[in-house]
Amino acid sequence: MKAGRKLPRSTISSVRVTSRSSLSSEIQLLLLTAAASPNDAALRNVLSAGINWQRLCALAAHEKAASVLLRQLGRVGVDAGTSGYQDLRQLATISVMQMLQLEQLLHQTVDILAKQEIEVLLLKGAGLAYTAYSSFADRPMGDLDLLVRPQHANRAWSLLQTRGWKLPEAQGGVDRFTGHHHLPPLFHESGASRLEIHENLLPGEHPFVFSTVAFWERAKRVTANGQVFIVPNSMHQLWHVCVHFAWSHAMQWGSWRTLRDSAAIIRHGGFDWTEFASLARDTRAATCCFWTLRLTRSLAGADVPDHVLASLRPPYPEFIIERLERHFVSSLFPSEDRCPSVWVTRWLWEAGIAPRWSKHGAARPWQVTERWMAGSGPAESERAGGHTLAGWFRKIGAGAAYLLRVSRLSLPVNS
Amino acid sequence: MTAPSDEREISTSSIVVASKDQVSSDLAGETVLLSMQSAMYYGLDQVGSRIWELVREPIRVSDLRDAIMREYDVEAESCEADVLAFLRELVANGLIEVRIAT
Repeated sequence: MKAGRKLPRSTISSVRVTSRSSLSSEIQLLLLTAAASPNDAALRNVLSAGINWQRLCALAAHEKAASVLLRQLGRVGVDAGTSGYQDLRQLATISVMQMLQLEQLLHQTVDILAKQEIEVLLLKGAGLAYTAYSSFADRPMGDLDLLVRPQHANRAWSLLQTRGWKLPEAQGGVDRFTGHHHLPPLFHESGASRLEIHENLLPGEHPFVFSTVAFWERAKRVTANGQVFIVPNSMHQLWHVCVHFAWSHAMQWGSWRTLRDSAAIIRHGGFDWTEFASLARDTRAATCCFWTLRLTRSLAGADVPDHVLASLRPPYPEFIIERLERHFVSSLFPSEDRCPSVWVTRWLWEAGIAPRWSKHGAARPWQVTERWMAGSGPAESERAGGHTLAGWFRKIGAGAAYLLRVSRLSLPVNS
Repeated sequence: MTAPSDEREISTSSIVVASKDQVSSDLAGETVLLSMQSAMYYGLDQVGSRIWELVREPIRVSDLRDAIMREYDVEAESCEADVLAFLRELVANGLIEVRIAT
Protein backbone atom coordinates (compact mmCIF):
# COMPACT_ATOMS: atom_id res chain seq x y z
CA MET A 1 0.00 0.00 0.00
CA LYS A 2 1.48 3.35 -0.98
CA ALA A 3 1.02 6.29 1.31
CA GLY A 4 0.08 9.33 -0.80
CA ARG A 5 -1.26 11.52 1.96
CA LYS A 6 0.29 14.86 2.59
CA LEU A 7 0.79 15.67 6.22
CA PRO A 8 -1.02 18.78 7.42
CA ARG A 9 1.13 21.79 8.17
CA SER A 10 1.62 22.64 11.81
CA THR A 11 0.21 25.92 13.00
CA ILE A 12 2.89 28.39 13.96
CA SER A 13 2.15 30.73 16.82
CA SER A 14 4.16 33.77 17.86
CA VAL A 15 7.87 33.14 18.18
CA ARG A 16 10.49 34.73 20.36
CA VAL A 17 13.77 32.95 20.79
CA THR A 18 16.86 34.73 21.95
CA SER A 19 19.85 34.07 19.76
CA ARG A 20 22.13 35.01 22.65
CA SER A 21 21.14 32.13 24.83
CA SER A 22 24.23 30.33 26.00
CA LEU A 23 22.46 27.09 26.81
CA SER A 24 23.53 24.28 24.50
CA SER A 25 21.36 23.56 21.45
CA GLU A 26 20.49 20.17 22.88
CA ILE A 27 19.24 21.67 26.16
CA GLN A 28 17.31 24.35 24.27
CA LEU A 29 15.68 21.66 22.14
CA LEU A 30 14.73 19.67 25.20
CA LEU A 31 13.29 22.73 26.91
CA LEU A 32 11.19 23.52 23.85
CA THR A 33 9.59 20.08 24.07
CA ALA A 34 8.59 20.74 27.68
CA ALA A 35 6.04 23.34 26.60
CA ALA A 36 2.36 22.39 26.63
CA SER A 37 2.22 23.64 23.00
CA PRO A 38 5.74 23.24 21.62
CA ASN A 39 6.79 26.02 19.30
CA ASP A 40 7.52 24.38 15.93
CA ALA A 41 9.35 27.38 14.48
CA ALA A 42 11.63 27.59 17.50
CA LEU A 43 12.32 23.86 17.27
CA ARG A 44 13.26 24.24 13.60
CA ASN A 45 15.50 27.20 14.44
CA VAL A 46 17.44 25.26 17.03
CA LEU A 47 17.67 22.23 14.73
CA SER A 48 18.95 24.33 11.87
CA ALA A 49 21.78 25.59 14.07
CA GLY A 50 23.06 22.02 14.37
CA ILE A 51 22.58 19.31 16.96
CA ASN A 52 24.98 16.92 18.59
CA TRP A 53 22.77 13.85 18.43
CA GLN A 54 24.90 11.85 20.83
CA ARG A 55 24.58 14.57 23.45
CA LEU A 56 20.87 14.93 22.73
CA CYS A 57 20.26 11.19 23.13
CA ALA A 58 22.21 11.15 26.41
CA LEU A 59 20.16 14.08 27.66
CA ALA A 60 16.90 12.50 26.49
CA ALA A 61 17.77 9.23 28.23
CA HIS A 62 18.73 11.05 31.44
CA GLU A 63 15.48 13.01 31.47
CA LYS A 64 13.34 10.12 30.17
CA ALA A 65 12.31 12.43 27.36
CA ALA A 66 13.12 10.26 24.32
CA SER A 67 9.58 9.38 23.23
CA VAL A 68 8.28 12.93 23.60
CA LEU A 69 11.33 14.39 21.89
CA LEU A 70 11.03 11.96 18.99
CA ARG A 71 7.38 12.84 18.49
CA GLN A 72 8.10 16.56 18.45
CA LEU A 73 11.05 16.21 16.10
CA GLY A 74 9.05 13.94 13.82
CA ARG A 75 6.33 16.57 13.69
CA VAL A 76 8.67 19.30 12.50
CA GLY A 77 10.08 17.05 9.80
CA VAL A 78 13.54 16.04 11.00
CA ASP A 79 15.23 13.76 8.49
CA ALA A 80 14.34 10.31 9.80
CA GLY A 81 17.38 8.87 8.01
CA THR A 82 19.84 10.66 10.28
CA SER A 83 21.66 8.09 12.39
CA GLY A 84 21.20 10.21 15.52
CA TYR A 85 17.48 10.25 14.90
CA GLN A 86 17.51 6.46 14.61
CA ASP A 87 19.34 6.24 17.94
CA LEU A 88 16.70 8.48 19.47
CA ARG A 89 13.98 6.32 17.93
CA GLN A 90 15.50 3.26 19.54
CA LEU A 91 15.54 4.95 22.95
CA ALA A 92 11.98 6.14 22.42
CA THR A 93 10.74 2.68 21.47
CA ILE A 94 12.26 1.17 24.60
CA SER A 95 10.75 3.95 26.68
CA VAL A 96 7.28 3.44 25.20
CA MET A 97 7.50 -0.31 25.74
CA GLN A 98 8.44 0.28 29.37
CA MET A 99 5.53 2.68 29.80
CA LEU A 100 3.07 0.22 28.29
CA GLN A 101 4.29 -2.47 30.63
CA LEU A 102 4.20 -0.12 33.61
CA GLU A 103 0.62 0.84 32.77
CA GLN A 104 -0.37 -2.80 32.59
CA LEU A 105 1.28 -3.44 35.98
CA LEU A 106 -0.43 -0.39 37.45
CA HIS A 107 -3.84 -1.73 36.46
CA GLN A 108 -3.05 -5.16 37.90
CA THR A 109 -1.63 -3.72 41.12
CA VAL A 110 -4.49 -1.33 41.82
CA ASP A 111 -6.90 -4.20 41.13
CA ILE A 112 -5.07 -6.50 43.60
CA LEU A 113 -5.19 -3.82 46.30
CA ALA A 114 -8.81 -2.88 45.58
CA LYS A 115 -9.84 -6.50 46.18
CA GLN A 116 -8.36 -6.15 49.67
CA GLU A 117 -10.21 -2.84 50.14
CA ILE A 118 -6.99 -0.86 50.06
CA GLU A 119 -7.57 2.51 48.40
CA VAL A 120 -4.76 3.78 46.21
CA LEU A 121 -4.06 7.36 45.19
CA LEU A 122 -1.82 7.71 42.13
CA LEU A 123 1.02 10.11 42.86
CA LYS A 124 3.39 11.93 40.50
CA GLY A 125 3.76 10.39 37.02
CA ALA A 126 0.90 7.91 37.12
CA GLY A 127 -1.53 10.49 38.52
CA LEU A 128 -0.46 13.08 35.98
CA ALA A 129 -0.63 10.62 33.10
CA TYR A 130 -4.35 10.17 33.70
CA THR A 131 -5.13 13.83 34.27
CA ALA A 132 -2.79 16.38 32.69
CA TYR A 133 -1.75 14.17 29.76
CA SER A 134 -3.69 12.36 27.08
CA SER A 135 -2.25 8.93 27.77
CA PHE A 136 -0.08 7.00 30.19
CA ALA A 137 2.78 6.66 27.73
CA ASP A 138 2.74 10.42 27.14
CA ARG A 139 4.18 10.92 30.63
CA PRO A 140 7.37 8.85 30.83
CA MET A 141 8.30 7.77 34.35
CA GLY A 142 10.76 5.52 36.09
CA ASP A 143 8.45 3.95 38.63
CA LEU A 144 4.97 3.84 40.11
CA ASP A 145 4.30 5.92 43.21
CA LEU A 146 1.18 4.77 45.01
CA LEU A 147 -0.12 6.54 48.09
CA VAL A 148 -2.13 4.40 50.51
CA ARG A 149 -3.59 5.24 53.92
CA PRO A 150 -0.82 4.87 56.55
CA GLN A 151 -2.70 2.04 58.29
CA HIS A 152 -2.75 0.06 55.01
CA ALA A 153 0.85 0.62 53.91
CA ASN A 154 2.50 -2.46 55.41
CA ARG A 155 -0.37 -4.75 54.40
CA ALA A 156 -0.27 -3.43 50.81
CA TRP A 157 3.51 -3.77 50.65
CA SER A 158 3.46 -7.35 51.99
CA LEU A 159 0.56 -8.40 49.80
CA LEU A 160 2.25 -7.18 46.63
CA GLN A 161 5.29 -9.28 47.44
CA THR A 162 3.09 -12.33 47.00
CA ARG A 163 1.83 -11.04 43.63
CA GLY A 164 4.92 -10.62 41.51
CA TRP A 165 6.58 -7.65 43.22
CA LYS A 166 9.89 -8.45 44.91
CA LEU A 167 12.12 -6.78 47.47
CA PRO A 168 15.70 -7.05 46.18
CA GLU A 169 18.13 -8.53 48.65
CA ALA A 170 20.69 -5.86 47.83
CA GLN A 171 18.34 -3.12 48.93
CA GLY A 172 19.73 -2.84 52.44
CA GLY A 173 17.85 -3.00 55.69
CA VAL A 174 14.14 -2.34 55.77
CA ASP A 175 14.78 -0.42 59.01
CA ARG A 176 16.49 2.23 56.93
CA PHE A 177 13.04 3.27 55.68
CA THR A 178 11.57 3.79 59.16
CA GLY A 179 10.11 7.29 59.19
CA HIS A 180 10.61 7.63 55.44
CA HIS A 181 7.64 8.63 53.27
CA HIS A 182 7.58 5.35 51.41
CA LEU A 183 8.36 1.71 52.12
CA PRO A 184 11.35 0.02 50.45
CA PRO A 185 10.82 -0.03 46.66
CA LEU A 186 9.62 -3.26 45.06
CA PHE A 187 10.68 -4.53 41.64
CA HIS A 188 8.46 -6.61 39.40
CA GLU A 189 9.64 -10.10 38.56
CA SER A 190 8.91 -9.53 34.86
CA GLY A 191 11.61 -6.89 34.50
CA ALA A 192 12.91 -3.69 35.95
CA SER A 193 9.58 -2.00 36.76
CA ARG A 194 9.71 -0.34 40.16
CA LEU A 195 6.98 0.46 42.65
CA GLU A 196 6.91 2.57 45.79
CA ILE A 197 4.15 2.33 48.38
CA HIS A 198 3.88 5.78 49.95
CA GLU A 199 2.40 6.65 53.30
CA ASN A 200 3.21 10.33 52.90
CA LEU A 201 4.11 12.79 50.18
CA LEU A 202 7.50 13.92 51.41
CA PRO A 203 10.32 12.58 53.60
CA GLY A 204 9.83 13.09 57.32
CA GLU A 205 12.35 15.94 57.64
CA HIS A 206 10.45 18.36 55.38
CA PRO A 207 9.60 21.85 56.66
CA PHE A 208 6.16 22.17 55.08
CA VAL A 209 2.96 22.54 57.05
CA PHE A 210 0.94 20.12 55.04
CA SER A 211 -1.26 17.15 55.75
CA THR A 212 -1.47 14.17 53.43
CA VAL A 213 -5.07 13.81 54.61
CA ALA A 214 -5.86 16.98 52.63
CA PHE A 215 -4.64 15.21 49.49
CA TRP A 216 -7.07 12.38 50.14
CA GLU A 217 -9.97 14.66 51.02
CA ARG A 218 -9.85 16.52 47.72
CA ALA A 219 -8.77 13.66 45.50
CA LYS A 220 -10.94 12.80 42.51
CA ARG A 221 -11.77 9.70 40.51
CA VAL A 222 -10.85 9.26 36.86
CA THR A 223 -11.50 6.37 34.50
CA ALA A 224 -8.72 5.03 32.30
CA ASN A 225 -9.03 1.96 30.10
CA GLY A 226 -12.23 1.03 31.90
CA GLN A 227 -10.67 1.12 35.37
CA VAL A 228 -11.34 3.77 38.01
CA PHE A 229 -8.35 5.46 39.67
CA ILE A 230 -8.04 7.98 42.49
CA VAL A 231 -5.80 10.94 41.65
CA PRO A 232 -4.97 14.19 43.47
CA ASN A 233 -6.81 17.30 42.34
CA SER A 234 -4.93 19.59 39.96
CA MET A 235 -4.03 22.16 42.60
CA HIS A 236 -2.43 19.54 44.84
CA GLN A 237 -0.66 18.00 41.86
CA LEU A 238 0.90 21.35 41.00
CA TRP A 239 1.87 21.95 44.62
CA HIS A 240 3.48 18.52 44.84
CA VAL A 241 5.37 18.97 41.56
CA CYS A 242 6.70 22.34 42.77
CA VAL A 243 7.76 21.14 46.21
CA HIS A 244 9.21 17.87 44.98
CA PHE A 245 11.35 19.69 42.44
CA ALA A 246 12.40 22.78 44.36
CA TRP A 247 12.92 21.11 47.72
CA SER A 248 13.42 17.35 47.35
CA HIS A 249 15.40 17.68 44.10
CA ALA A 250 16.93 21.06 44.96
CA MET A 251 16.03 22.24 41.41
CA GLN A 252 18.67 19.97 39.92
CA TRP A 253 17.00 16.67 39.04
CA GLY A 254 13.90 15.68 37.11
CA SER A 255 13.92 19.16 35.57
CA TRP A 256 12.45 18.43 32.17
CA ARG A 257 9.59 16.42 33.61
CA THR A 258 8.91 19.09 36.23
CA LEU A 259 8.70 21.87 33.65
CA ARG A 260 6.57 19.74 31.36
CA ASP A 261 4.31 18.56 34.20
CA SER A 262 3.77 22.07 35.53
CA ALA A 263 3.03 23.38 32.04
CA ALA A 264 0.62 20.48 31.40
CA ILE A 265 -1.22 20.95 34.72
CA ILE A 266 -1.53 24.69 34.10
CA ARG A 267 -2.79 24.12 30.58
CA HIS A 268 -5.23 21.46 31.81
CA GLY A 269 -6.55 23.92 34.42
CA GLY A 270 -9.24 22.94 36.89
CA PHE A 271 -7.89 24.94 39.84
CA ASP A 272 -8.04 28.47 41.13
CA TRP A 273 -4.76 30.41 41.10
CA THR A 274 -5.65 32.49 44.15
CA GLU A 275 -6.38 29.35 46.14
CA PHE A 276 -3.14 27.82 44.91
CA ALA A 277 -1.13 30.86 46.01
CA SER A 278 -2.77 30.73 49.46
CA LEU A 279 -2.00 27.03 49.75
CA ALA A 280 1.63 27.64 48.78
CA ARG A 281 2.04 30.42 51.36
CA ASP A 282 0.12 28.64 54.14
CA THR A 283 2.19 25.49 53.73
CA ARG A 284 5.52 27.41 53.69
CA ALA A 285 6.04 26.37 50.10
CA ALA A 286 5.78 29.85 48.56
CA THR A 287 9.37 30.11 47.36
CA CYS A 288 9.43 26.49 46.13
CA CYS A 289 6.31 27.20 44.09
CA PHE A 290 7.66 30.57 42.96
CA TRP A 291 10.82 29.14 41.45
CA THR A 292 9.18 26.16 39.82
CA LEU A 293 6.47 28.33 38.30
CA ARG A 294 8.85 31.09 37.26
CA LEU A 295 11.08 28.57 35.49
CA THR A 296 8.06 26.90 33.92
CA ARG A 297 6.88 30.24 32.61
CA SER A 298 10.22 31.36 31.24
CA LEU A 299 11.40 28.01 29.90
CA ALA A 300 8.20 26.15 28.98
CA GLY A 301 6.05 29.16 28.12
CA ALA A 302 3.38 28.32 30.73
CA ASP A 303 0.70 30.88 31.44
CA VAL A 304 1.44 31.74 35.07
CA PRO A 305 -0.27 34.96 36.16
CA ASP A 306 1.98 37.80 37.32
CA HIS A 307 -0.01 38.28 40.51
CA VAL A 308 0.63 34.66 41.52
CA LEU A 309 4.38 34.98 41.06
CA ALA A 310 4.33 38.34 42.86
CA SER A 311 2.57 36.82 45.85
CA LEU A 312 5.04 33.93 46.14
CA ARG A 313 8.39 35.56 45.41
CA PRO A 314 11.12 35.84 48.02
CA PRO A 315 11.74 39.40 49.26
CA TYR A 316 14.44 40.38 46.75
CA PRO A 317 14.66 42.97 44.01
CA GLU A 318 14.22 41.73 40.45
CA PHE A 319 17.93 41.88 39.55
CA ILE A 320 18.73 39.41 42.35
CA ILE A 321 15.87 37.16 41.25
CA GLU A 322 17.17 37.28 37.66
CA ARG A 323 20.67 36.27 38.70
CA LEU A 324 19.41 33.44 40.83
CA GLU A 325 17.23 32.31 37.95
CA ARG A 326 20.26 32.14 35.67
CA HIS A 327 21.99 29.89 38.17
CA PHE A 328 18.95 27.63 38.56
CA VAL A 329 18.60 27.35 34.77
CA SER A 330 22.26 26.42 34.40
CA SER A 331 21.79 23.70 37.05
CA LEU A 332 18.73 22.05 35.50
CA PHE A 333 20.55 19.50 33.36
CA PRO A 334 23.85 17.64 33.49
CA SER A 335 26.39 19.82 31.72
CA GLU A 336 29.92 21.11 32.02
CA ASP A 337 28.45 24.52 32.78
CA ARG A 338 26.92 23.40 36.05
CA CYS A 339 28.20 24.97 39.24
CA PRO A 340 31.33 23.04 40.23
CA SER A 341 31.03 23.82 43.93
CA VAL A 342 28.59 21.98 46.20
CA TRP A 343 28.97 24.76 48.73
CA VAL A 344 28.11 27.53 46.23
CA THR A 345 25.22 25.45 44.88
CA ARG A 346 23.75 25.07 48.36
CA TRP A 347 24.34 28.71 49.18
CA LEU A 348 22.51 29.79 46.02
CA TRP A 349 19.69 27.33 46.70
CA GLU A 350 19.27 28.82 50.17
CA ALA A 351 19.35 32.31 48.67
CA GLY A 352 16.50 31.35 46.33
CA ILE A 353 14.35 29.37 48.73
CA ALA A 354 15.03 31.74 51.63
CA PRO A 355 14.53 29.11 54.36
CA ARG A 356 14.50 31.65 57.19
CA TRP A 357 11.94 33.90 55.48
CA SER A 358 9.96 30.77 54.57
CA LYS A 359 10.05 29.57 58.22
CA HIS A 360 11.77 26.32 57.28
CA GLY A 361 13.89 26.21 60.40
CA ALA A 362 17.01 24.09 60.01
CA ALA A 363 15.52 21.59 57.53
CA ARG A 364 17.41 21.34 54.23
CA PRO A 365 16.95 18.81 51.41
CA TRP A 366 20.57 17.61 51.49
CA GLN A 367 20.12 16.43 55.08
CA VAL A 368 17.84 13.70 53.72
CA THR A 369 20.47 12.74 51.14
CA GLU A 370 23.20 12.70 53.75
CA ARG A 371 21.14 10.53 56.07
CA TRP A 372 20.77 8.06 53.21
CA MET A 373 24.47 8.17 52.49
CA ALA A 374 25.30 7.41 56.14
CA GLY A 375 26.96 4.04 56.33
CA SER A 376 27.72 3.91 52.62
CA GLY A 377 30.67 6.27 52.45
CA PRO A 378 31.50 9.81 53.43
CA ALA A 379 28.74 12.41 53.47
CA GLU A 380 28.31 14.55 50.38
CA SER A 381 29.43 17.68 52.16
CA GLU A 382 32.67 15.95 53.15
CA ARG A 383 33.29 14.69 49.61
CA ALA A 384 32.64 18.12 48.19
CA GLY A 385 36.13 19.34 48.83
CA GLY A 386 39.20 18.95 50.99
CA HIS A 387 39.72 20.76 54.24
CA THR A 388 43.14 22.13 53.29
CA LEU A 389 43.72 25.82 52.63
CA ALA A 390 44.56 25.05 49.00
CA GLY A 391 41.32 23.08 48.72
CA TRP A 392 39.33 26.03 50.01
CA PHE A 393 41.04 28.41 47.55
CA ARG A 394 40.29 26.04 44.67
CA LYS A 395 36.65 25.86 45.70
CA ILE A 396 36.36 29.63 46.05
CA GLY A 397 38.02 30.15 42.67
CA ALA A 398 35.78 27.64 40.89
CA GLY A 399 32.69 29.11 42.53
CA ALA A 400 33.65 32.67 41.58
CA ALA A 401 34.37 31.69 37.97
CA TYR A 402 31.00 29.98 37.83
CA LEU A 403 29.14 33.01 39.21
CA LEU A 404 30.77 35.21 36.57
CA ARG A 405 29.88 32.75 33.80
CA VAL A 406 26.29 32.30 34.88
CA SER A 407 25.70 36.04 35.04
CA ARG A 408 26.09 36.05 31.24
CA LEU A 409 23.47 33.39 30.61
CA SER A 410 20.61 34.69 28.49
CA LEU A 411 16.97 34.02 29.26
CA PRO A 412 14.38 32.99 28.27
CA VAL A 413 14.63 30.29 25.64
CA ASN A 414 10.96 29.47 25.24
CA SER A 415 8.25 32.05 25.50
CA MET B 1 -26.74 -6.00 16.61
CA THR B 2 -23.48 -7.90 16.36
CA ALA B 3 -22.36 -11.43 17.20
CA PRO B 4 -18.82 -12.58 18.08
CA SER B 5 -16.80 -14.11 15.27
CA ASP B 6 -13.22 -15.21 14.60
CA GLU B 7 -10.51 -14.13 12.18
CA ARG B 8 -11.37 -16.65 9.45
CA GLU B 9 -14.74 -15.00 9.03
CA ILE B 10 -13.58 -11.42 8.52
CA SER B 11 -15.28 -9.84 5.56
CA THR B 12 -16.04 -6.32 4.46
CA SER B 13 -19.32 -6.51 6.37
CA SER B 14 -17.61 -7.46 9.65
CA ILE B 15 -17.31 -4.96 12.43
CA VAL B 16 -13.90 -4.72 14.08
CA VAL B 17 -12.77 -3.03 17.27
CA ALA B 18 -9.57 -2.87 19.30
CA SER B 19 -9.39 -5.50 22.03
CA LYS B 20 -9.50 -4.35 25.64
CA ASP B 21 -6.52 -6.60 26.40
CA GLN B 22 -3.96 -4.28 24.90
CA VAL B 23 -2.35 -0.93 25.50
CA SER B 24 -0.84 1.17 22.76
CA SER B 25 1.08 4.35 22.19
CA ASP B 26 1.89 6.61 19.30
CA LEU B 27 5.57 6.91 18.41
CA ALA B 28 6.20 9.65 15.85
CA GLY B 29 3.48 8.45 13.48
CA GLU B 30 3.99 4.79 14.23
CA THR B 31 2.42 2.72 16.99
CA VAL B 32 3.73 0.39 19.67
CA LEU B 33 1.24 -2.15 21.06
CA LEU B 34 1.47 -4.43 24.05
CA SER B 35 -0.86 -7.41 24.23
CA MET B 36 -1.78 -8.05 27.84
CA GLN B 37 -2.70 -11.65 27.02
CA SER B 38 0.58 -12.68 25.43
CA ALA B 39 2.86 -9.97 26.92
CA MET B 40 4.16 -9.44 23.36
CA TYR B 41 4.99 -6.06 21.86
CA TYR B 42 4.01 -5.16 18.30
CA GLY B 43 5.00 -2.29 16.04
CA LEU B 44 2.74 -0.76 13.41
CA ASP B 45 3.98 1.37 10.53
CA GLN B 46 2.28 4.58 9.44
CA VAL B 47 -0.56 2.94 7.50
CA GLY B 48 -1.03 0.29 10.17
CA SER B 49 -1.18 3.08 12.75
CA ARG B 50 -3.91 4.81 10.79
CA ILE B 51 -5.92 1.59 10.66
CA TRP B 52 -5.32 1.15 14.38
CA GLU B 53 -6.61 4.66 15.00
CA LEU B 54 -9.78 3.77 13.10
CA VAL B 55 -10.41 0.49 14.94
CA ARG B 56 -10.24 2.13 18.35
CA GLU B 57 -14.00 2.54 17.93
CA PRO B 58 -16.12 -0.23 16.35
CA ILE B 59 -16.01 0.17 12.57
CA ARG B 60 -17.29 -1.84 9.61
CA VAL B 61 -14.42 -3.19 7.52
CA SER B 62 -15.87 -1.70 4.32
CA ASP B 63 -15.92 1.75 5.98
CA LEU B 64 -12.35 1.26 7.14
CA ARG B 65 -11.28 0.25 3.63
CA ASP B 66 -13.02 3.29 2.16
CA ALA B 67 -11.34 5.60 4.65
CA ILE B 68 -7.92 4.20 3.76
CA MET B 69 -8.66 4.51 0.04
CA ARG B 70 -9.61 8.14 0.52
CA GLU B 71 -6.42 8.91 2.37
CA TYR B 72 -3.86 6.86 0.45
CA ASP B 73 -3.07 6.42 -3.20
CA VAL B 74 -4.05 2.77 -3.58
CA GLU B 75 -6.11 0.51 -5.89
CA ALA B 76 -9.46 -0.63 -4.48
CA GLU B 77 -8.77 -4.33 -4.93
CA SER B 78 -5.34 -4.36 -3.35
CA CYS B 79 -6.48 -2.03 -0.59
CA GLU B 80 -9.24 -4.41 0.45
CA ALA B 81 -6.92 -7.42 0.31
CA ASP B 82 -4.21 -5.63 2.33
CA VAL B 83 -6.66 -4.34 4.93
CA LEU B 84 -8.24 -7.77 5.40
CA ALA B 85 -4.83 -9.45 5.68
CA PHE B 86 -3.70 -6.88 8.23
CA LEU B 87 -6.90 -7.25 10.28
CA ARG B 88 -6.55 -11.03 10.29
CA GLU B 89 -3.05 -10.61 11.69
CA LEU B 90 -4.36 -8.32 14.42
CA VAL B 91 -7.07 -10.86 15.29
CA ALA B 92 -4.59 -13.73 15.35
CA ASN B 93 -2.55 -11.79 17.91
CA GLY B 94 -5.59 -10.93 20.03
CA LEU B 95 -5.32 -7.22 19.34
CA ILE B 96 -8.78 -6.72 17.83
CA GLU B 97 -12.17 -8.36 18.12
CA VAL B 98 -14.34 -9.16 15.10
CA ARG B 99 -18.08 -9.16 15.01
CA ILE B 100 -20.31 -10.16 12.13
CA ALA B 101 -22.96 -7.59 11.47
CA THR B 102 -26.38 -9.20 11.66
